[in-house]
Amino acid sequence: MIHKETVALLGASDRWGSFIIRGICTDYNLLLIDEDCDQLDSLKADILSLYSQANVEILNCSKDASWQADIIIVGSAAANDINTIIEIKDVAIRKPVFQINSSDVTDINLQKLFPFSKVIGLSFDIGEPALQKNTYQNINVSIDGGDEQALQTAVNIMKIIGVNPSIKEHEIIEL
Amino acid sequence: MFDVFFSHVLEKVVLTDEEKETIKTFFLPKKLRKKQYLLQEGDVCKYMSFVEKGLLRSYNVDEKGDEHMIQFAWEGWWIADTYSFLSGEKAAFNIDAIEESQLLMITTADFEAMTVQVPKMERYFRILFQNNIVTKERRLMSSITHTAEEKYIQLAESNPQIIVRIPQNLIASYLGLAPETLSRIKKNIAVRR
Repeated sequence: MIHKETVALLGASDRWGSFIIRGICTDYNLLLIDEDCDQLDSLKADILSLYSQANVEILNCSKDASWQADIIIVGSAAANDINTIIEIKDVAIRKPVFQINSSDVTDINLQKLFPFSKVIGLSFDIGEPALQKNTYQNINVSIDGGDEQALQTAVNIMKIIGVNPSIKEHEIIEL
Repeated sequence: MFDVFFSHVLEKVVLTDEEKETIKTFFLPKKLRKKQYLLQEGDVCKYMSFVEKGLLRSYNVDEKGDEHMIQFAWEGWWIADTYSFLSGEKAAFNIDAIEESQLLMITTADFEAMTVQVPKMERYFRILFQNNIVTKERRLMSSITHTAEEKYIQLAESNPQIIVRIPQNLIASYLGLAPETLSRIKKNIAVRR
């Protein structure tokens, strides 16, 4: 039996964060962090009403959540909070850290801030998760990063959610 | 986060501050809650884990559903399904936390890369594996030659502070005894004292 890994989502009430969480709540143990406690309570209740077996917990410490996690997902707002970044840096070493990229927030390159983590960028091709007949088939996500295993983990998670993942290819410059 | 780890390493090798900082970048820090699994039978053991804080056990479950303890690991100990870790085959053991624990975990690939960058760590792990072989030989000998009471006394005297942290039924399983037998042994020892 393969035991469930734990995902920490920092900025869980972020639109893409909550979209991802809803999609993976039966496959992973979830630890949710956000400044907006009301939104988190509502998100948790929503998930449990849909899937009563979901293991979802709200924590109030990003460091503790990231320490317990096997995979860390950082929403765009959380990525721009330098205090959060400093807090989780040491407990994110060697872990996949998925950064949700958003066009309306200045992007920070987490790989430079987390040099020993496996940072993967997730860029969705539309501004809002659009529910179409209860599937997300028309949503594409570009996945970018340097670690092969972490890239594959991201692809697997995106497939669980039901969106179309593609790994961004980098141009090889011949000198 | 690395205090116990470096105390353990420094007993065997001398490291510079720069080497310590390099070593830290190869370990994945993980917190486990009480009763949370680190590894389940049938998974592949991808990590060797150092216990910075807490207490874990490795065990196997037989066809009847009975648990058989293989090892306990507390602060300063390593734990893994070694065969699975080295071969990439499926694990025969389960590993879970008896207490809330803090671990430092390393993969085989990161282990190899670390020993290239800090060659002294080869010596540390060589000594570790040597000690592990000796410990296992002694446990095997004890299981064959010692009485139940002798096994318990040896365990209690060599790890007096740890034995009080482990539930009695798990100690009994580790020693290959029924819980009632262990209770009787402890009572006999207490009466004699």
